[in-house]
Amino acid sequence: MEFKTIKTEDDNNYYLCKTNKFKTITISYIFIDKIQKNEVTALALLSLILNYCNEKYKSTQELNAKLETFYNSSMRISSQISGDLSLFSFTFTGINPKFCNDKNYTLLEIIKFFYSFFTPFLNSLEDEFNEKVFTICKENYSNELVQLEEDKELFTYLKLLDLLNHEYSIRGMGYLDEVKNITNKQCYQLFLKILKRPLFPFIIGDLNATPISKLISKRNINFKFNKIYADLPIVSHQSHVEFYDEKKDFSQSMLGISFTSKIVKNDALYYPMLLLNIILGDSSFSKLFLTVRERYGYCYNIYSSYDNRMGTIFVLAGIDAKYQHKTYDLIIEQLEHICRSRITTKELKFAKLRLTSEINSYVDSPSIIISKELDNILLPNSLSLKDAIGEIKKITVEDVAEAARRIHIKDCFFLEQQEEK
Amino acid sequence: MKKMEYSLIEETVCKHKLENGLEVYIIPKNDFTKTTVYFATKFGSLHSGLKVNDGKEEIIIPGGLAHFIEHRIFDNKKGPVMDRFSALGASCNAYTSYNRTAYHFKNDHNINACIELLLDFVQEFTVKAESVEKEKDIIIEELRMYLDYPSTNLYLGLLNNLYFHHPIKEDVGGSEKDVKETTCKALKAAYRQFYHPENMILVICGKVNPDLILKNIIDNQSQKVFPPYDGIPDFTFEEPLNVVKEFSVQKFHVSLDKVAFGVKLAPLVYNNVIEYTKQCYLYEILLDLIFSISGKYYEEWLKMQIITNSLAYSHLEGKNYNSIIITADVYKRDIFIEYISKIFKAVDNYLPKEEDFTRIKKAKIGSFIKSLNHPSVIARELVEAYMDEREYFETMEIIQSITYHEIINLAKQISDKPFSVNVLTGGKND
Repeated sequence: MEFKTIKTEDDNNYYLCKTNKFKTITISYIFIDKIQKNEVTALALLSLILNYCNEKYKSTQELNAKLETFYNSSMRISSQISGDLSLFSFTFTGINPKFCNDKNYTLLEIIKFFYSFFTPFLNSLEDEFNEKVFTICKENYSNELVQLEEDKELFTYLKLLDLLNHEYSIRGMGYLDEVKNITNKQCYQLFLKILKRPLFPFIIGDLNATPISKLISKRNINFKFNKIYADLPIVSHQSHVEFYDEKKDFSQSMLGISFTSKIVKNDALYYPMLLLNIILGDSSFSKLFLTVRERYGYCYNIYSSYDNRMGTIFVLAGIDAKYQHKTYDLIIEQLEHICRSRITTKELKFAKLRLTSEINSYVDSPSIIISKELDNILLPNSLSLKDAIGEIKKITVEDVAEAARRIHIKDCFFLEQQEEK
Repeated sequence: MKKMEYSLIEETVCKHKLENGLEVYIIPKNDFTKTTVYFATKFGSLHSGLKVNDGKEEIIIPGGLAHFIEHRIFDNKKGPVMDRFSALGASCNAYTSYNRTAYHFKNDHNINACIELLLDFVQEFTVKAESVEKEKDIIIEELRMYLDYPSTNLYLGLLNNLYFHHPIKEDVGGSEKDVKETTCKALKAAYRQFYHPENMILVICGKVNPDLILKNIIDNQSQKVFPPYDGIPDFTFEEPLNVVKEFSVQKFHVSLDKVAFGVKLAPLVYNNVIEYTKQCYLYEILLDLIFSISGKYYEEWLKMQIITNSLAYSHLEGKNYNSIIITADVYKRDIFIEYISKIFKAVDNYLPKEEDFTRIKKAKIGSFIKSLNHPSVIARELVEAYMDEREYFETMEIIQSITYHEIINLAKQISDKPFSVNVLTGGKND
């Protein structure tokens, strides 16, 4: 599944992956720049405003009716953070018109619709978004942020993320206390700024380059097709573990622990680190699953997750409060086992099989294909899928143990259920 | 093996019924790297209360038993099932729902070996009292995890307002009491009854050669002996058409009130799978016409600050139950409830024009075609359709056959029926 770089008539580049594997076509324009923490909340709000309507489809009702006319196509504008980068994407996914035989649903109509999102619905002075739209989106956005508190797992995760206290350990969905101060004008200025960012346009589907190039060239929007590269914002170790707790009205408690490793995507121990995470807590054969859940029955849900751009690992477990200390001890004990090379041949083999299978399946999803291609562009030393699998095959128990020895525990957060049952 | 070509969507489906009664569906998608396989039984939480025989005595199935078997079946005497899948590079999982329990895996190689393993572990159930006791704690933690979700409480609270006796109102996993009272004897008896190949389906979708795969499945199944199939006793529930309670309020850790509005309807009547599938789509299209984002009310209510952007709706239908559920996070709960009540008093008065109906039909067709992008979605959807006795691959034709007139008739038919409301509140609006 390969992308070709295609030149449009007006001399810009886009990346095309021509395939008849999918019944859909996906067009994704991703505007990338270095993230600024003080813009995160406004960026998230901006994505809601742009998703809501635009100059051509002035209400969300009208816009969604158009998507339905386009056979339930979807258009998603989203703001994400990846390491030290802010990714602001406009993504259209719709069924390939060849299945529809509908003169109102053609590639030209799709491109016109897609480009309508770059001309938002403004006020009469054209210096702000439509006030009503801005107010509705701001209100909904505030509510979404307030409701994060209702999900104990997400709440615990965000707490650990905040406690990392690093320049780039940022909540992608923004911060509640910043929402009220965001003005309409500020949001609109941010929109204009985004359009000046380096752009990475991707198209996937059973489509030929020539007609797309022509259609894109006629859009008359001067995007910048420059390149940018990522830096990986490593989180440093801390000399001692900090413990935090909080009580909330839940019937089950959550235990969350964060670890730092300084191992990020371009590190020599990157692939051992991926295997370590699978062996520790990201599989049904993981040490945490088999001990904390299967052997001791302390929880139903326990897992670890590795952030390959900051080098952190989070472990989360939904437990009864009475198992707090026992679960904590078991988590630390299992990690120590890995440090001491107590990894069975079976565990390493299973982890390798699982990781290899996961990498092989990247080409089965248009969104993952785009995200992996983007990784290759942003981190030029990234390995191809084939080379990555070759690297994984060579990894030994000692490599994984070496990665584990680079791990330091940072914070432990316990969200305690209000009343024990 | 019967091969069915669906030229409109460029898909081929191979179907075969084995001598032991197991139905096998194979959908080759050779461009994809991964293959998804589901092995499912028609046994879910709705079967609780049924009597099964363990060979000696009759046992009443307690709540959550199907889910309990799903947990314990992985404890196979040949060793941990998950490990054996992992050794083949696959990840295996399972879920239980109202009318089914499904076991599934995905992999990019070793497909035959994985299918064999899937068939072998699901078709063997040796459970020990000690392991049952330990599993109870894990299942109780799982139930508690879901009970911390506002959506679970909102939904179960509403179903308890709507239904007097029907087990649809119970959590799929049962109550903590059900779990604590579960015995080895009940688990074994239910397994014997419901895990017969006649009561099961195997669906394979991905990079496969259908003939080779089927041959291996036949080889595997021909080596096993199953007791004669007694069938599943038909079950009906004596459920009145009125509701238990018209209104309830639950205190919960929510920042905004959450409202669930449910309309209780008479169960659907139909003659065949196509007719039934069409009826389900009629309901879906009707609800889309009124409540979708492109409908008249969603944006109006947003602008009036009655709701947040959280309006959701569904048609909940199955064995002896049929209801419509509307949920939202609300700023003005009384106004929201009043508006929804008015709509359901005379639904046909609130229907938009025929051109909107044509648009929604297009959207439904689009959703179906998009679902064919993913072998895992195809396999899951086919299992769900089979269990619900709906048609799947002829979805496009069925949707195309629906007329606006049929929608108007349905709107009239569901108007002025008993309804109930459940509210979750953090207390701010009280």
